[in-house]
Amino acid sequence: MNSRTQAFVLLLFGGALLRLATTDALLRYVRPVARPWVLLAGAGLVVLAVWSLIAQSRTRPRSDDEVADAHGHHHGTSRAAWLVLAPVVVILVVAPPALGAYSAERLPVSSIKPPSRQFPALTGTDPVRVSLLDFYSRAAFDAGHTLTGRKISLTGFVLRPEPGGFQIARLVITCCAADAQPVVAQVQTTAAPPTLDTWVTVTGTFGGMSASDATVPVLRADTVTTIRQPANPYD
Amino acid sequence: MRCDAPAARMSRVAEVTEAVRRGVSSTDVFCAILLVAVVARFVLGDALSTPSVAAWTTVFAAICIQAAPFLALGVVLSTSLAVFVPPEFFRRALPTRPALAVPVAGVAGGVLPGCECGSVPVAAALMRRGVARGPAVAFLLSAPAINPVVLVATSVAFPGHPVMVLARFVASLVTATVVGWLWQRIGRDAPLPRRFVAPDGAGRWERARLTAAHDLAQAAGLLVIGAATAATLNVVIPRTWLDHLGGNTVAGVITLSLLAVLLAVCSEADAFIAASLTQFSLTARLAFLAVGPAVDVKLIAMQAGTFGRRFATRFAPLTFVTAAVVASVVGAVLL
Repeated sequence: MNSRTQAFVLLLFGGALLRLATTDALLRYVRPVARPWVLLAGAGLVVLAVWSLIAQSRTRPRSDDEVADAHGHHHGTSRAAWLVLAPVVVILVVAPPALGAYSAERLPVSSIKPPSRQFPALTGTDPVRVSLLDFYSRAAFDAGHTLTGRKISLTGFVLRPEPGGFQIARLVITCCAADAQPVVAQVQTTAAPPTLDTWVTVTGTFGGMSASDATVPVLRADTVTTIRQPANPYD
Repeated sequence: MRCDAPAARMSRVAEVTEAVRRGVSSTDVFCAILLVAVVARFVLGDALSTPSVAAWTTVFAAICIQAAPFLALGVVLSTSLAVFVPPEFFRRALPTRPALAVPVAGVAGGVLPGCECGSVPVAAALMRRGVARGPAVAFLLSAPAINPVVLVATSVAFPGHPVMVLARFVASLVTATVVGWLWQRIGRDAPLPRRFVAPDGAGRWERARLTAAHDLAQAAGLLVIGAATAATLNVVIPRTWLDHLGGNTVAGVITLSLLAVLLAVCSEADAFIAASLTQFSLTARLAFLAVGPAVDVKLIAMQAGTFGRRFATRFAPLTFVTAAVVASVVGAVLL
């Protein structure tokens, strides 16, 4: 790879990162806290690439491939650099979706430890919006004390139909989608279960832990509303 | 004048054929790859949306995106070491005796707040600047494992076991030091990492630009190999398999050490994965935390590309065994 192509590859990679960091598409892959760092890295790559292109246009044009050959020790590195085009193509052309039911199905369910064992009373008027992770933590580690007597609103994607309702899930990520772990809740309803991976907001009351799986909390649903995928699909 | 025209045209044709004959430049290949990718997107549209392929591409993209800032930070550091920090600095900062320099470099690794991808180019720059191989690999192993960000993440992930933070710190620092000492002895014939030579007469900033662009393109390319491997294993291995392997401590240590290599989770996130593997003993989970930042499929790819394949084939098993054994001992004492 000559140094001009190398600059183009870096420019594309930086551009792909900048494009991601300025849209909500970023949240399909990493947590919101990563945004400024991805932005900074993308900007840095673009600056370096543009600087390289300007510097090269000023010097006398020559075939850098031949220069590299003369030195002899650039071959391995040049080949690896081509691979940078793979994530560029994946990000800009394929634009993969957020992980959903397929991944949640294959990961161990609700073995997450809550970040804190302090569960203050839920604030706000009913129905109070609770994340699936918080709902699970309060149900499993505080016997649902703070949930009882409130109207709860949960948002997640449909994981699987069940007798007497369906399960919804949300993936919790710490750094990026590679470390996703699912939290699951059982929705008790007479309504027909929506298709797999449909995003729903369910409003209802806490119904203890599931009889079939003691790690899965139950929400007795009053309403089930189909929604669009939230900007941040992960918890 | 008229009869000159065909001659001029002839010479222009000759120029063009000459250019073609010299071969396609890498810029042409570059454009061709992009064109093929865009066309393939439309031809393969359905195949790409099957759940397993979609999950693979998502995880692959996620690892690349997540690692990019750490990689950039690592290259900024490695470039500064290569261009702006004089070699004498390391001679003065590190003890002359490698036996003593190894633990010092291990502790120094604790101040680099990154994950493992960023420390590979930094360690390579250290070696090129004349730092002995023992201290350099001690830094390589400790930097992603014991920095403050990772330790805070560990304490958050194990709220009921604050001793886990201490156990992780001790296990990773001891692993880095032991491997550093061993590598100082047995890594003698390992070649220095290939270096990029900036043209003679280039100014300091010119050298920095060339080194940074080269290191970044190389490290990012190698990261892609690792990300693809990790994404494949991430999607192929159903994590629910582990439910049946947690009973025995020794089997647990071996299982989670292998899992750490295969999953290649960032060292800042691995504590949360370890915390969720509740069917395993704390010692087995400590092994997961000690092995992961030191050796995983992503790192093996990056090390093989940076330090050579001979390095990786000996260094990875050595590190794996050391980390697993040290974690077992530390776990037996502290947990």
